[in-house]
Amino acid sequence: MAIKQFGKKGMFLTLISISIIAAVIIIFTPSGLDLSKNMPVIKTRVSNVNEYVLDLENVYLENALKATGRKTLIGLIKWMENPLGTARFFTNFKGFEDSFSEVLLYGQIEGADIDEYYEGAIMDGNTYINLIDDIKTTAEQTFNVETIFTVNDIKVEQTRPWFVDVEADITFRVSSETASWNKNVLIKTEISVENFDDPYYLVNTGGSYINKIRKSDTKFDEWSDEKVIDFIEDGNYTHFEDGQAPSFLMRFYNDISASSCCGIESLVNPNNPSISNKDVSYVDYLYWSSVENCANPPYTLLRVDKIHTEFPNFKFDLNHLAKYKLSADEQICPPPG
Amino acid sequence: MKKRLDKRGYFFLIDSILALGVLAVGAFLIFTFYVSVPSKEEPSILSDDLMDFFANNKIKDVNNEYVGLGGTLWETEGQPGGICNGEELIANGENTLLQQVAIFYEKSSGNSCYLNLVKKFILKLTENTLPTQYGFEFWMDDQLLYPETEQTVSKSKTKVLIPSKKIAYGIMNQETGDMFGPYNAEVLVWQ
Repeated sequence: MAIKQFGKKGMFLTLISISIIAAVIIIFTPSGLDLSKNMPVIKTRVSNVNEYVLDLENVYLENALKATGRKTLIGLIKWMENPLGTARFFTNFKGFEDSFSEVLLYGQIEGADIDEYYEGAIMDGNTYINLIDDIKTTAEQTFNVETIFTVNDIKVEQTRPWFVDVEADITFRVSSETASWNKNVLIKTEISVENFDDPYYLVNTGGSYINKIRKSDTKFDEWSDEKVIDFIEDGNYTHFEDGQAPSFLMRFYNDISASSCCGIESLVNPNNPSISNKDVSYVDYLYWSSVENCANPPYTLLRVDKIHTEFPNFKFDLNHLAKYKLSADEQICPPPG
Repeated sequence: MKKRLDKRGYFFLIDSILALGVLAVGAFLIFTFYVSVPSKEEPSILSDDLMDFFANNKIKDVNNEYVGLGGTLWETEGQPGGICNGEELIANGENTLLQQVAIFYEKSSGNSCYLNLVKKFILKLTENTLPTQYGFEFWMDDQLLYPETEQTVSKSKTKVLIPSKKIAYGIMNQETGDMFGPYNAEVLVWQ
């Protein structure tokens, strides 16, 4: 009777142990529906695309704007020089800004391809839209993402003498299989005005006097005869805090009024073959804008012998004589006495 | 009474052997469900680190006798006997290593010597950095830049191959506003 009872209990225990083992097997069997193992892959993909979005926003769009902005200014200066026709200024700032935007985005001016106005291709394949398309294609190949851009507005202005500020208002959307980004960004860049041909010289001489903008190292209180001679010889530019000169951008639309922030000026070299002897100040923005009348000039004209030896016919107005720390040897206009 | 206890001893013995068998089969079944998978972590870290090294370090910041500012690349490779004899090689310390690779790649369309130059550039920057059991390739826009030939056999044998990608671009000439890129740069690391 006792054996019979123990035997039944043993079977029962065996069944329990089998059940426990079966339960353990079922619980710990890896499930094919475990999504957690895919998480690092998804995380890496999102992280990579996020890096691309940040890079786009902070670096690429700014670099592309700087590169295209520089090309646009080169193209506009060539268009003004107009080697195939007559040199011309823009009518006003609005006209200049509209053309800047049109050339930067589409490589066109007044609806025509700007590269047709001169030899060589400056904007072909290099517009802002072209560069944006390039990154779109590369991002699609690299990260398998779709990028859609809309350029809402382009602005150009100067707040410092030696730099042009360009702004682009852009909306873009980046979408991948796992996530999407919507951004509206204001991309800002500054372009150095150095090494551009001064459009004011080009247009006024029909392209025969090319003067590249280079900043002089001389500070406002360091001027002397020798430094002025080098300054004229090198065709350099300077900025006076209290100056009356126009800014670099104002030279595109023939506005020679004083720029409150950004006026830059150079001295016209009378030895250049395209420069004729005139009874006016040889400061660049005055040379081409002043009406000659020695008997009743707009300002007193003076001669400095040391400068005159190197640059015959060179004349200063009283205001600039003081700015360049020179002293006059002779008054030319109006004739003394 | 003694006979009954003896019989019970046999029965418990058999029962425990049976239970042990069940446990052993259960444990065997559990552990065979877990397939041994090679670790993805190390190649992944190496791949990302390698790409980050190229993307985040500038020429001026690298202490390397060949690549760094004043290094032999800039002094001798454009001279007679150098890899790109007659080419003007100017070091721009502000370029990242990845941008420099992209510049050489861009110039290789005009002169193929730049492909050899970029190969040596990558070699000098990465030699002795990767453990010997790892393989590594550097690609740009489907062009293999390093090593000389694609390691197809080694790559086909591996179970884990980790790519790390970045887009390389920059301004080639500040005066003219010419850009290089954007190029698809890819580092592959496998064990």
